[in-house]
Amino acid sequence: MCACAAGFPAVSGLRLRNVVRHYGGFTAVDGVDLDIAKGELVTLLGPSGCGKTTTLRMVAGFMAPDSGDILFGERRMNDVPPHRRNTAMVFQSYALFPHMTVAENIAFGLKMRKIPAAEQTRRIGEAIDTVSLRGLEARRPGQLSGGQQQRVALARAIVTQPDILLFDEPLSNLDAKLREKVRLEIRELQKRLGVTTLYVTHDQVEALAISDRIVVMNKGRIEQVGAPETLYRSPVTSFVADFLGAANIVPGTAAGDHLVATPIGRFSVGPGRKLGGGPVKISWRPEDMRVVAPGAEANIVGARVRGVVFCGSFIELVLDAAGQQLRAQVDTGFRGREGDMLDFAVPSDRVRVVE
Amino acid sequence: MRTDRLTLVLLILPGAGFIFLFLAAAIAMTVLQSVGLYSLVGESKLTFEHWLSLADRTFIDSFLFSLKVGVGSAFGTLIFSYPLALFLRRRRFGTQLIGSIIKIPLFVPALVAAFLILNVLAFHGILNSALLGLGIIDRPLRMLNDKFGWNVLIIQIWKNLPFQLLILSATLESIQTDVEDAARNLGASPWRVIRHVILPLSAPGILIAVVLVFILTFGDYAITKVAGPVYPSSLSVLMYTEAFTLQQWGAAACIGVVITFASLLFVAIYARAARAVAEIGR
Amino acid sequence: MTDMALTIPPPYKRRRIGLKGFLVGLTVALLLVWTAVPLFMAVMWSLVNPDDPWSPPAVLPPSFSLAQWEYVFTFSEIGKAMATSFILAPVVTLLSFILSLPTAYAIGRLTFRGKEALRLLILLPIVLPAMVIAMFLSRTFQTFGLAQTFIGLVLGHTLLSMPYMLRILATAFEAIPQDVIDAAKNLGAGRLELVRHVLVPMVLPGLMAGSVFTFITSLEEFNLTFVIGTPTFQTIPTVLFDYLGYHFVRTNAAVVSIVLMVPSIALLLIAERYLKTEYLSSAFGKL
Repeated sequence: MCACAAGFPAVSGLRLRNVVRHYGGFTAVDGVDLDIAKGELVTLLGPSGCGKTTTLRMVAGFMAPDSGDILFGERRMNDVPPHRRNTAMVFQSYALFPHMTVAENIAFGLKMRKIPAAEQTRRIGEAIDTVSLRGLEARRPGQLSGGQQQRVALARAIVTQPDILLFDEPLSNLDAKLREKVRLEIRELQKRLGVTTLYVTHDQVEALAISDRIVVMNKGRIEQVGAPETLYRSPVTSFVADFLGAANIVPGTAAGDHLVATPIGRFSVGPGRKLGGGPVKISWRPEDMRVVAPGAEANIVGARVRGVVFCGSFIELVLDAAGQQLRAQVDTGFRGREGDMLDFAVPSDRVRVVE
Repeated sequence: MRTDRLTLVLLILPGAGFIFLFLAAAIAMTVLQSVGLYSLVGESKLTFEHWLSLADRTFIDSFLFSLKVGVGSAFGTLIFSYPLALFLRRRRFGTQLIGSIIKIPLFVPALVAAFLILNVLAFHGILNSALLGLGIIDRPLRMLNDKFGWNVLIIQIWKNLPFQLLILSATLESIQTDVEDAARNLGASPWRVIRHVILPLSAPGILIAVVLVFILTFGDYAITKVAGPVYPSSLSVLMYTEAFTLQQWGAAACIGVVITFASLLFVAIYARAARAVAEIGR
Repeated sequence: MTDMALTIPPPYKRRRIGLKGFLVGLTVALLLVWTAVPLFMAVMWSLVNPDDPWSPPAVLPPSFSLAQWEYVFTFSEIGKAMATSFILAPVVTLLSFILSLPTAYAIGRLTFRGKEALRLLILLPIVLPAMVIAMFLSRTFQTFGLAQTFIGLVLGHTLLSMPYMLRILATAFEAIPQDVIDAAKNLGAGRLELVRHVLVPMVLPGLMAGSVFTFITSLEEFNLTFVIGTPTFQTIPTVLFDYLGYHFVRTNAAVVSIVLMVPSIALLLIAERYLKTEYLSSAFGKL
């Protein structure tokens, strides 16, 4: 039995190699290739149907890939059944055992592993304190609030000291305020334990907030992998640009090394791919648009204000530029009105070329 | 939504009223006759002699026999129906087909079921033919109306299997697959998933399935009359004989009360279990 | 820290069509044998040629003939019994429906105290011992001159069949989403229109299922008919009972069995589209 000092996984990382999975005639996961380092929290992000949950369930062992490999460290896990994988999953519905108390729920994984009773008690106590459930050990799931149930699910998972921790949209049943609080707690816990974690969500704010890296998936394929800020600032495809936060996407043609001609003006774009000429798309974020006085500067867009929306900490503008709809985020000092014709500037390094 | 009292009563009256009226009449008659009133022969007066007349070997033997048939049928069917229900739980190809084939005995009336099985077990029946053909025996076996009641048990199991299966399938369906997945994820092998999660959660449903079959078979007349041993007879058969052959309606009524009381007792257990089933679905 | 992830896994191979397919096949085969063989045997016996006896170790009768069928239909009460059965069943079904409809509506859609007790009451005719009810109800009928009468049979059958109709109809009523009713009211439907255009069409499948169950229950009813009806009235089950008891003639019993089974199974096959599992479990399982 390995007694690891800090954190527990002895397995180094999770690797998916060209994993494919079909459902009848439909390809749910279409060649996913991923390398997750030990201790990393990687989020699979995408709309429903993109294959993220299927991928997660294959890592858990509930279904087998039709082709490709799943490796925990160096070991190929394709044929290993779920109950022998030493992963632990927190389900969207929590999946607590309704006929067992909180303590019994948490003990279940330890019982299956035949951990001696004294050790069980110690670990359960630790887990309960970690998720702040002291005093609720004898309750049944039916007597707990949603937030409490979620913590039981979490405790139940971590108490087994899994090699890989899996999350299947664990926060989607919580209200917004609670969600913000709990996701931070999950992240802190994960960092403290140092456990390799695969997290699935469709909520991009959540993904941005907690991940070491994000894997954006669409229609069974990976669109882009990277750190949150990299993905946000330098999306490679229009899907990624539009899914992570809002984006203004405009079609145009390459007109030089870092120049793109579009129906609404010529844009100098940030460093990135060399443009080869031909049709491209460019993208920038609404908050990178500034109202400027008419004058010379790169990347000026003239647009008519069609809507002014107060959003609390900023003002969103719905703009019409030569028939193209754009969105801008400006600070709350904005004094313009609907119908105004204004000039906006976008810094070149904030304009990316996307596929 | 407050419905006015009168409307409610008027709505309930036809259906419930009808049932209540005739059921009460039948039960009342049973109870009254058991204490000597409404007697067909002789005078009607309150007496407990009929009850006392039950304290003999015949009644006790019949009671035990009915008990044996009830328990044996209920659990005998369970041995087959529960694994089948578990097996049919995960949708594989073939579940549809199996489901349809299984339903058939449900629609076969008791007497026909009795005949079908007796036919198979008969001296000239297919079972004997098969055993003879395979050389396992060299003379046909006499299997009908056996003293233990195996005929009755086999018929009841054949007939009630789909019934229990239906109830158990509904129960198993109410257990979320998520919970099963969680157990597997936490290290439980398929057998341990059943033992620690599915079995306890389906316990109320199992109870219902067992109790209902018990109730149906404990008070059975037709099947036991046709396929059962000459002695002892089931309680219902004894009751009938007392009434129509021996003209002892008083004694028959007492037996009737006993059977009814036993059934009501188990109905109460059923009601308890049904409530528990409703709670599992949360 | 467990070694689970580091140990060599035991030989657990995923053979997709292997073991599982075999088990499925085996189960289907066993079930087929268990269910179908008794039925098949009955059919065989009804077709035995009286001049060519069938005895072990022959697996099938040596030759077939319809002689047994002729015999039963010529020399037994089966004709009259069938008439009685097939007049009784529709009458009982209609009566059950009329009596059940309002009550089922109340149970399905209204809330009131004592509903659980009411549901139990409705369950009683099915779970209380049939022979007890038969015998002592007949005794009551005797007092009122209803024994050995057609009306007595109708009343008795209705008592025993109605619970099925009630439970299925109640479930059907319950299943109507309140939203739909509210929308109809919102769009101007009065009480009568509501019943005609919303409630009745939406419980129609349940009504079909309930009718099928009630019809079949009446067809197959034995205990009560035996006590109250015979010897004045015979139904198919009572004739069958005759042939299974004192006058046990295998071939006659086989013929009558088939006569009894065919309408039931045929009805259920026709009603297959209405007979979803929810109806079956609502009739039997749930409170």
